[in-house]
Amino acid sequence: MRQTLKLTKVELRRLFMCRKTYIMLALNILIIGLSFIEYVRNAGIYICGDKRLSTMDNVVFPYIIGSLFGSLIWGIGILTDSDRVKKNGVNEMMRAFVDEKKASLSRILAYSVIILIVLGISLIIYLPICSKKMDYLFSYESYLIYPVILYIPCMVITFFLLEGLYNISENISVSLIIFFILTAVQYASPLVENPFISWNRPVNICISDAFGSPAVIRIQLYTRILLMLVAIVLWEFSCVFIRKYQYNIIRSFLIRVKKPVVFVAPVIFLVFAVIMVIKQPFVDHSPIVSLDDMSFMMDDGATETEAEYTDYKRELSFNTLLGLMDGTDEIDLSAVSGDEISFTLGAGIKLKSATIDGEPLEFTSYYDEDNVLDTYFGTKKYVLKNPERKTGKLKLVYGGYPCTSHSNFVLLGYDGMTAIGKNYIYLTSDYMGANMLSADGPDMELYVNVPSNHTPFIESDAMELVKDNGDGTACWKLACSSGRLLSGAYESDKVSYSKEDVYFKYSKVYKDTVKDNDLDGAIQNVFNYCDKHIGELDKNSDGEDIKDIGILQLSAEYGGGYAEKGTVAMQEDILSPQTLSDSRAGSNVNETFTHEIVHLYWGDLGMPFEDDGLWSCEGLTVFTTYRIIKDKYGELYAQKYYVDEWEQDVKDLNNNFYYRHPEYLDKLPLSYRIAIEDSVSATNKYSLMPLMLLKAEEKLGGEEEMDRVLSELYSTRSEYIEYGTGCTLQDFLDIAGLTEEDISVE
Amino acid sequence: MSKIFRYDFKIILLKPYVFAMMVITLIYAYFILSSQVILGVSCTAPFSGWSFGKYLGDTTLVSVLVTLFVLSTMYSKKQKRVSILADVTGFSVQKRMIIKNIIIGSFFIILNLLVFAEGVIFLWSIFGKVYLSTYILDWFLITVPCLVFLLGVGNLLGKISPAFIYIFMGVVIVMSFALREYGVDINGANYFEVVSAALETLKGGETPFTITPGYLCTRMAYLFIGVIMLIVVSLKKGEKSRKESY
Repeated sequence: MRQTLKLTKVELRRLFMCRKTYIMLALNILIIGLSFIEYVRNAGIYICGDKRLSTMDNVVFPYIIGSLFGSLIWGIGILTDSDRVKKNGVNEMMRAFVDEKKASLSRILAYSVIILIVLGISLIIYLPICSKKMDYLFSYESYLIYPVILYIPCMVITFFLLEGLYNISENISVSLIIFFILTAVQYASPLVENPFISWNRPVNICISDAFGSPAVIRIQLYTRILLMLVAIVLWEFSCVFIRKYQYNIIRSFLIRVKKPVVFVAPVIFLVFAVIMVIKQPFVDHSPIVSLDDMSFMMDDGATETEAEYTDYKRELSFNTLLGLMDGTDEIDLSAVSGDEISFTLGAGIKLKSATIDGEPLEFTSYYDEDNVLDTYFGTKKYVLKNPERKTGKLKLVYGGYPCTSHSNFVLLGYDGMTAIGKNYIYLTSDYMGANMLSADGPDMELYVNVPSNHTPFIESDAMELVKDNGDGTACWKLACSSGRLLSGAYESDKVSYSKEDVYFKYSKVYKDTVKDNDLDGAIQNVFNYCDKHIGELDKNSDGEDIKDIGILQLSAEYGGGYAEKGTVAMQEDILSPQTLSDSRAGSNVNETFTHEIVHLYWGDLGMPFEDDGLWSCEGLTVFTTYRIIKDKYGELYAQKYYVDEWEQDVKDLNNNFYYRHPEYLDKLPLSYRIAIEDSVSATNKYSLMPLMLLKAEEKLGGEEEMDRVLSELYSTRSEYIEYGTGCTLQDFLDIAGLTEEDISVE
Repeated sequence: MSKIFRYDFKIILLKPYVFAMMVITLIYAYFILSSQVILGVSCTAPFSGWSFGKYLGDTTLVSVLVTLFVLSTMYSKKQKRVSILADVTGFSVQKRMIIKNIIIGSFFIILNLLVFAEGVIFLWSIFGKVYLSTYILDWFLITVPCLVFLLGVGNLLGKISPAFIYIFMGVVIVMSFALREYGVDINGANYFEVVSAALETLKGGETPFTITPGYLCTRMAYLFIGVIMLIVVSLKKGEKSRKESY
């Protein structure tokens, strides 16, 4: 070890005296810096995905690009250094003084020190740029942790891999070709979303600005350590092939394997790697099924009632560092009709014990392959044996790491369906404890222990604080039957409008944005206006009347929003600077936000639409936003910032070469065609359609008539939802009594 | 004579960095073609004279910088030390300067011809349509004044100090971005974007390709200034060589 360290020092000194090192260092830092340029970020969507959030753009993306190109730069560097001794014809002389394995390890260590310096310098140089660009979303924690877990392991893996390849081949070209192939393989479509094999290309990750993404950090760390172990195993094995006494690869190998001790270290590392693969907590081992088979639509897994209870109490606690969940269900069974009681637990959650009045019950567990939906999501069925049909206090203790299912992972890649972290907890009902399949009783009393800075709630239902546990957590309770659990440092604003209250719950990080831009006022304007002119927001859910309407901001890790039980959950980027600066949706932050809230009426959360490239929810949303703004600021303002803008956009569109000559569009490569079609489609939806609606308003004879038509259209939404279809332009024209020619715009 | 030519050709152009800069210029040209030209400049066709002119102008900015850099090596300290030896050979200093300028000028022309060919191949392979006569007019309007001007100013400044050539490179860059609407940039790219956009706003639809007298005057002015400076340089050299012969 001492000799290795001594050699590392010598190697480091040599590197510091070499001009090549400084050129590579500067190049790597420059590449990280180039990633801050908007054009590069746009081009990088193929590597890093198209989620535009501040941490993604300013912290994660630069270091993903820096790691990818850095591994190429430093990889070539370490290979040329490995080859240097052989190239100069002094390898035999060197081997007389220095053990080859130690020399190889010292090179890796020296290069690792250099990349630490690269990272350090980059972090210092780009700190002012990052903190300025991210403004209030900047945090030192994110600024340090993501670059470290993205950049350093990637480089160290590269060094071990390339040293290993060179030790075996002793040929720089062969090693480089294999290295390029291994890099390219990660982009092959079946492997593209697999974090377990992406060594210098992190998978398409998404980092939340407001809530952090501990699940991403955990899986990245775990897979990096695993891949590092694999690279070390390769390197250790490769040392057996290092040439000895100028013999060829086979004879050198035969000489070296005479000492079995050379296999001890690689085998130990290999065992660790295998254990890590088997024990990984992120993807379960459920059988792979496809949802193409629609049989799950018919089977809801319900059987006749097995038990009845008088009281159901559930307590959940979380380990926010490791992402673990522990739960206890206490059920007072009053009647049992069979020998078995069945329930399910979400993927990754395991039953630890089941007792009835303190006596343990036997249980079996399996994946119910008849229930395709459950098996697809890794939900495991548990059956408790209760042959004596005992009643009393049934206690179920369970816990684990809520993970993604095997089928989901194979088909869609790793996605964070749940999140447990110090700033954010999100659990769907599948993961929130034992789901009794056939038991009847009153609503469950749910107790959750969450960090004391959190405010938990189930959908739109607020929870009640029970006590502070004194260990940094607090206990909250709610009587509920089902729903998702959300918990985080949330700010809850009560917005009252003419009829009732709306609760707007968003991360405290955005508190100033909301206050400074009067976004609560925007919500109020939308509800006041839409209630009066379009119709009331649907609060009825499965025949159940909901008390309050809640608008929730979810973490970006959870893709997509949803509307259910009076709750409208929206993606994190509804408040992101990137969204609020989108000039197509509004001329300032308040108006853009107004646009997003109008989507509660026109869009997937309200009225569904058939998107035909012109007619879509965007047209009516932009038009309604224009009407709200006209109501608020007057005709002149609305004309200048809305109608004139639409007209200019349409004029630009008409002048566009590819719009005038669509025959040339087919000649373009696919990516350009998509980009141009997207741009044309955006102008059609955001500018041309609102102009057509404005013309329809004129034809109909004014705003009142138009309101009548829109209100009638909105009232038909339940039919579309029921039949799973969307409203078309023809539906609108039919109600308005107009034709397409009537509203066409030149 | 041919030996001197070959020697200077080797000294000036047969360098890895010259090839690297040529490759970078061609990569940059592809970048311009695939990011701007393919969409069409100011709503004109990607294969119109406007788009091609803008492409040539933008790429010529880089080839001008590359050529100026190569020119600056002619006046480097190392070359000055070598010239002491070369001067005693009896071969006319003025002739050597002409040979060197021919080599550098040819390099610039070849580089721009490669850029021209790259653009034509790119547009032909995608759209199957090119207007060669218009492109050749674009090429002459951009390349010839640039060539004469950069050789004139480059030699004049290089004689004083190679550092001035680097400053001049900065001026070339600044002029290409500042005063866009006046189209006074040395590489002549802005005209194609600004004028086509203005005509499009006036008339709409496809803008026919035209060369305004204003642009022609600007290009002729650069050509004229370049010629004057080359004459000044050659006169100065002539005086020096006469003095040395005494």
